[in-house]
Amino acid sequence: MTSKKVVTKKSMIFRIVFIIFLIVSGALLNQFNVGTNELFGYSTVGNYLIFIGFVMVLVTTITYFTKREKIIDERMEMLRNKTMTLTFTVFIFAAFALIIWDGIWPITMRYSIFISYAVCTMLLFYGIAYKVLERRY
Amino acid sequence: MKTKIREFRKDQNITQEELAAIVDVTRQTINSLEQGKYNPSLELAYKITKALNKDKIEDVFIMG
Repeated sequence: MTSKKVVTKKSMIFRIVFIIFLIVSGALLNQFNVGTNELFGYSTVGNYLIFIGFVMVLVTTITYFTKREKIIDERMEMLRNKTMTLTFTVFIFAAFALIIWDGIWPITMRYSIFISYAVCTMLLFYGIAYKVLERRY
Repeated sequence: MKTKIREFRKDQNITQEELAAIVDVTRQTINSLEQGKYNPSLELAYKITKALNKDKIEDVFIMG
């Protein structure tokens, strides 16, 4: 019914290893000029990996020194399931609408940018839907 | 579903936070239960009933 997310020593080690992997692989990609094709028109793949690595350093530090235990109860699980279902349904309908849209007015946007917009929109929708359902239940 | 959680909680001088800690849920869930927005599982209803020192679940939770 209720589960507790605990920041254990094992999970902390895993996070640190992952952060090191991100930063080192980012630096190596930059060093060997791999993925320097200006991803999304702003920066290189390596720089993005390094950036995510440093954001994770920040988040991990904050998590380590503040809340070490997070309760996930049955209401939260119910909300999560409802939000997932809603997001998935909206995604299916949006995909269908986009197919029709693309048939009438072809989408000329770059594939990578289109996917990033789609993912961001889905995440945003999930967050808003969760907050709305949280007020209702 | 209507509940008498708030009433019994006030009788025993327990805060939402304290009751939440006893039954292992978040304070928001207790608040939601008190407002009748959320219907708990049988397990949670049983835990809350015990935490409020009541014998029967139907003393705390009222259907309809």
